[in-house]
Amino acid sequence: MGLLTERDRAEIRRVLMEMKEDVKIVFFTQRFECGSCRTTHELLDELVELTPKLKLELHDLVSDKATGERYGVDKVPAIALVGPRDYGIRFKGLPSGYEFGAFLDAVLDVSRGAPSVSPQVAEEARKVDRPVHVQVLVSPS
Amino acid sequence: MLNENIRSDMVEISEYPFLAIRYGVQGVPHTVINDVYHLAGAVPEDVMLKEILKAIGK
Repeated sequence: MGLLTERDRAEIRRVLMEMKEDVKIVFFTQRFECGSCRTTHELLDELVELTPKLKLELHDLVSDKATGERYGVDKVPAIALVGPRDYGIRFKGLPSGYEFGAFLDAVLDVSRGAPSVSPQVAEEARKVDRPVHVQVLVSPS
Repeated sequence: MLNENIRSDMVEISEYPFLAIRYGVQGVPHTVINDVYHLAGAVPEDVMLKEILKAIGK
């Protein structure tokens, strides 16, 4: 059966139907996968089966450091979500529990090319005129 | 996504414990902006943006 139950799959499939453009899940792991790399890999394999708009692009960070550097990734497992553009959205570690919901939300946002925020927030965000790196630290829930 | 200058990571601290230690994280979620500004707990988007603007001196 895998990590996702039939009910999970049906629900996720329904959510992913709202995708517009294709999204590439750029996944960094290593050939001899650690526990969480393996779990993340399995989860992503199951996820991309649920819609043709999600593609998995696999990279071995050990043999492909250059791509890792390009995406700002230096540890595994790590995921970059890339739609029509790379918006700099990264998931470092397995997105489990509550974070999986955030992961699906991010897939939808990237697919639409626009986050679901209020017009005021979108307007204010234009004022950011220098690099900003936001890290949200979470734990498995 | 709203601005090319902003990039964001979700970081699972059980796999990046050194970040939790470096930033002195007591509870999650915990947000760090540009390695310096900290926000504890869940943060609504308008507050997040205000803090980002503060972090860059606006």
